Amino acid sequence: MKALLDAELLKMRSTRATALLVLATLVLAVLTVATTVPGVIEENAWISLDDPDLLASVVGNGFGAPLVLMTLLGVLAFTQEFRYGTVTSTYLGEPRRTRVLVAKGLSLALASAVITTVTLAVTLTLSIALIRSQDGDVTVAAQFWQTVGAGFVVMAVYAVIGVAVGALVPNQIAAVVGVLIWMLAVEQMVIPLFPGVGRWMPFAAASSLIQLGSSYGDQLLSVAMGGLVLLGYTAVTAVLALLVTPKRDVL
Amino acid sequence: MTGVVPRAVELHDVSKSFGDVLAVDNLSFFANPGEVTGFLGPNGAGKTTTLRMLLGLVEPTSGTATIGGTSYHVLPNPPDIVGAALEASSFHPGRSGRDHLRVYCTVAGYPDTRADEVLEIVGLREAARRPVHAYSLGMRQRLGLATALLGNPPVLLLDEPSNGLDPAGIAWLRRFLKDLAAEGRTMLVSSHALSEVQQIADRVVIINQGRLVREGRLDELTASSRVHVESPDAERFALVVESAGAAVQRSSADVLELQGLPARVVGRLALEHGVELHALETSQDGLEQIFFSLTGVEGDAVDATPEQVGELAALHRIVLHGLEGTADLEKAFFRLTQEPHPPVERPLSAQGVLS
Repeated sequence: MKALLDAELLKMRSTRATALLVLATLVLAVLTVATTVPGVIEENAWISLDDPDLLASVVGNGFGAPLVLMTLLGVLAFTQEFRYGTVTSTYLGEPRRTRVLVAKGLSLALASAVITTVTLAVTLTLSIALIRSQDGDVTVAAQFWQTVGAGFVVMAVYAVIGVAVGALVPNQIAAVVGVLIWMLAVEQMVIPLFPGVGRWMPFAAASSLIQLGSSYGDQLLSVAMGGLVLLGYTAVTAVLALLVTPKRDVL
Repeated sequence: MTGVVPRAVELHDVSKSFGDVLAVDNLSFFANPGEVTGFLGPNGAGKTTTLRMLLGLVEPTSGTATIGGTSYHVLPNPPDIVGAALEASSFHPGRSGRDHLRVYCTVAGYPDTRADEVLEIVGLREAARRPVHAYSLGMRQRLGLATALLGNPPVLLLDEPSNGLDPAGIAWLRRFLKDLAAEGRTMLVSSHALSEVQQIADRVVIINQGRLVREGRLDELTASSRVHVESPDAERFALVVESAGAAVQRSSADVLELQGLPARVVGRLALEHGVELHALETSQDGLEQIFFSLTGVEGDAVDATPEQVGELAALHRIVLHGLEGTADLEKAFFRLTQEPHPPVERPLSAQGVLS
């Protein structure tokens, strides 16, 4: 398994696409932070500059784009292999395909830890600087640490779900477009407009974990329930992927 | 199923259907160590599906496909045992050739230096660190071969390895594959390029519409092909070879076209009967004729004149290698391009046509 994991990490490192995606995400995260600190770009304050949870909320909101990135990186782990035919060599090297699937899941989870750390380093530095520039409160309260911890968990979970989705939908364009439409359109509309349904969606569950309840008018699930829901989505997609992957002919 | 010693490569009653389409139909054949087994069939005959079933990439609907008596997914560290090159396009375009190989070295537990060794073997050392999108089709073929050779495996399955290679590359490949077989490896090589197969294969397996149509040693199969004989004593020699079992056609006073005897037997008969020979030549398209008669597939350019073939050469270089007159064109190509001339064994009568 170590060899497979090393090979998956090497695959990620040896193409420029990974680095470009991470870079693009950091830019988006920076923009998100810049627009969420009250008074920097938008005057309409959605949260008070004196709120002790200000830093946690700004940093938490900064996870929006990185979550999309992690999912896409996960999806690409398999769809790129199908698209370029490298899956043939991969399965020739390790014909027990469930092991390949698990190695991809693990490698993406590891990558998510690195990417989350880099994201936090950037968003945190920028958040503190911008909040200070507005004379806001940069208290590092309990909620801040929950947000940071949940950020690592949710990023890893999204990466694993991405891998499973990529294994289930080998057509790269269909998988990527599907994920983007779901994350950027469906969830972004349904969660605020129909919270009764929306709060059961993955991003709402993730948001409850990252403590973004206040951004959605406190209509999200509890942290525990959100965690369970997210775990459920991960389990269902992973099990489906583990069932389908060994059976699929590689043509 | 095969007795005590399992075959290096064996298919036993293998069928595969995709929905309503029966791609491979009750196919059985084998490949032996130390031999190149040519795997032939028209496009869509099921060659690639068959190779993929041997490699555990496609699950047979019924039957067994085994390597050394074992199915691929239970082989311990399969790259040690089987190397495969399927299609020239199975690479991430943004990854360098060396990194591509390093990925599979890592999986199989080989040191990175093995990647450099195989790059050297296939002649890609210079291009090792360039991304694959900058590779020509021929270079991708070489990279595919390099991937197959990583584990120095005793069994090699190659799908159309000569596709995209230029004549120098094809001459290189021919020697390379023969050398690999001479080292005792089991080589199963699918190809459209019949004249190439004729030059490298010891045995051939011909399939059509998923079914085996012919299998056997190449010299036995081509024994039924035509042997061209020129002799001032043609009339007497016709009787000799006829009584030895050949079908004889006397096309002019001193020219005989024989079927049913290999050239070496014809030569021996001539010696034994004291017949003077001016030419003794097996027709180059023996395998092609067998192939076309068995598969019902006819190549358009088979009857083309050398001039027509020459025109086609500009358009379809690869197609040429499956055609009569290849040897001459090949020589002409090497002369014109000043490429290093590979040793070409040809009867004297074939020379000079295009020079």
